[in-house]
Amino acid sequence: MIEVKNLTKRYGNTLALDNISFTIETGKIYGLLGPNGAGKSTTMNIITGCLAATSGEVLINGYSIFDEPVEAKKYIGYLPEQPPLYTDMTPAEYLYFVAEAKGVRADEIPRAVEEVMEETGITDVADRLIKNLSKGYRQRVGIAQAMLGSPEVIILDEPTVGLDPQQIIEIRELIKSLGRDRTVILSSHILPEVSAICDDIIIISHGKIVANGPMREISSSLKSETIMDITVKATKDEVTSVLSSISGITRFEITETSTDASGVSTTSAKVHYPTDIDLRETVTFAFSDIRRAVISMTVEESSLEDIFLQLTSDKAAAFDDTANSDNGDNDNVSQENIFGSNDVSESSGSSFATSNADDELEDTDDADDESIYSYNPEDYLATQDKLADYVDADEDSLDDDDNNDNNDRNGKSVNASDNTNDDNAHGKETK
Amino acid sequence: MLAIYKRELRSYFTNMLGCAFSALLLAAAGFFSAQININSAQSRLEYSLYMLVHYCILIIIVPFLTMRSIAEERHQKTEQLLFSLPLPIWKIVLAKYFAMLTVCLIPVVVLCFYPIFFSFYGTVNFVGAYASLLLLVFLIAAIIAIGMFVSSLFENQIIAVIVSIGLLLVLYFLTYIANSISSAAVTSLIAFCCVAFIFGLIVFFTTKNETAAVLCGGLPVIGLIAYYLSNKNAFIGAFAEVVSYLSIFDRYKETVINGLFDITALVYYITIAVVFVFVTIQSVEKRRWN
Repeated sequence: MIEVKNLTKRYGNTLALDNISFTIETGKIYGLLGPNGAGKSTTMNIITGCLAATSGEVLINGYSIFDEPVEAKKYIGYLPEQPPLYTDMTPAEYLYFVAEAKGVRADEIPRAVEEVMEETGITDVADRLIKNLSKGYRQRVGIAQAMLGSPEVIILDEPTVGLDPQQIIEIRELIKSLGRDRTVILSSHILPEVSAICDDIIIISHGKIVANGPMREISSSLKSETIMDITVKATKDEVTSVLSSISGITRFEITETSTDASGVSTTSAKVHYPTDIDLRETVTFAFSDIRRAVISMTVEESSLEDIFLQLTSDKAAAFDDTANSDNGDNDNVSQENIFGSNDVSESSGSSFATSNADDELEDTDDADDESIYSYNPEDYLATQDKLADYVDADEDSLDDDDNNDNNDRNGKSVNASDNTNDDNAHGKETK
Repeated sequence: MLAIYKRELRSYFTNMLGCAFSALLLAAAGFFSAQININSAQSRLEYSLYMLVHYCILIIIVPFLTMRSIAEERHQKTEQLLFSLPLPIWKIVLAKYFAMLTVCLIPVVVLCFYPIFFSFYGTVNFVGAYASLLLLVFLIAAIIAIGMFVSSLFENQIIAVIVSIGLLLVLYFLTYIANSISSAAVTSLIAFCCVAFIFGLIVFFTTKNETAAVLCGGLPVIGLIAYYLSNKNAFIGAFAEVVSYLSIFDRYKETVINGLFDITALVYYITIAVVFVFVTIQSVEKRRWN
């Protein structure tokens, strides 16, 4: 069990952690979630004794990491953001070294090393130099290293960053299996990942804990809304008048309207209403009353992203800094998106970033699309009040394979090609 | 601790640094002893050993051994592994230090056979030869400690090696520099004050604490001036004297050339090694505080 009490960390004048407290119970998988620069790595570094805190206390099974570090560290295995590997060694040699350094008894070392290599699936590469291994295997060696000495708690800092989709799934499976008999704390800025793996989540924003508890509790404690995308064979005015006559709709917006050669208009709209009511029938009948056909209708529940945004949006100014600094290095093209394909039931997005981990990656091509998926923090800022637009735009950019088209993101979203609609319709409730 | 020692030692021989170091040291020692002991038919190995110091061979090659000791851990981020191990930092630093010392002992062991070979062809002063070798080991131990400390300050091993060599060269030429300034009392005072000022600056840059820096730099200056006013004569030539007393390399020369085994030199080298290993531990520890 880990108790973190009133932990504060300052770097010069920057407050990285602001008086945070939480408790990690034994036998669960915890997700430490937050945007870049929120203080996830700082927290983990302090818990593992790699960094000293400005004030506060961390107790690991009752041992303070600051006063009795040697005793406290015995209960912890840590994989930092960048796996700490000696690249001129082979995994077997490296793990042997770590086991020895962690004080595993000499006669148990070969068995212990063998065990973790099997569990992490690196037995095949045990005798190759680490510098010749792929990123995925290095990450596994890093995890194996953390598992040595049978620590009760394994702490993994962004374990899936920089891996390809296949590797991400494998690492996630590995983490889940670790969680069966150990406590695991992992950090991530990818929301669906955390919801797929973790029992409990701790959301950190700007050095403060903004939410802490089981996934379900957090989502139910927040007001959420349903977003319905509909496409109707009708003119813009007709759609507007019908939708405004329906009570219960919080707001709606016309996202696209077009008229084909024969003069038939098609209009798409996005309708927001509270989750506790169901307006699907009402809307369908309202259009059929004026003899207009609803061609497609998809409904999304408010998801993790909404929670995340609700929890962190009041800190928009500070988030801006993060976004700018991210933007500054200009090579953020393959950065994974916290909003990556949030709608789990969607067919086109069923890949590694979905929260539906069990049927992940049936189609590798899809996943590859997703992996080159980019995320521009500025776009995020511009649209954080219009989350639904954003999600749709993301789908567009996936379908179009055009990741840099900002217009798609910010503006009118739905690409009304039949193909897209059909795709989207599959996994959703359609009328 | 043993695990880290073994890993370090291994790494010096897998990346050839240890082999290159031994080869260079042996080549240089072999060259000097061929010149002095064989060509000039001079039976004293200590002269050849002194040439290693005199021609700055040690000053140049030992930093290449120490440069990566801590800088590379930082660069590869493996220091996070070391920090998260259930080991206190002093053990980690000591393990690294002793691994480097072991690498240095390998060529020294080979050198141990030289006097025996020489004895086949003439009379050899074994005591002098082995005493010089012993002192050489402690001199190297002191240089390694300095190099390791410099390595702990940087993330880039190239910068670490340049700074180490620079620092050692300054130490090497310090006596020349000190002797070249006038021995007048005022110059000594100014020189001492400069040293105190530099010390204050170092304290400031490492701790970012103005009070501590002013205390460390300012108090000695006040003390010096007060002492100067009370006793001017004590300052005449004092700086050069103190510097030559503190000089690492001159002490080796005195022992070897004069044939006087100076036990204070041995103690001095051990002191330097202990002090620099200690500040290295502090420097690594400070990293955790950022």
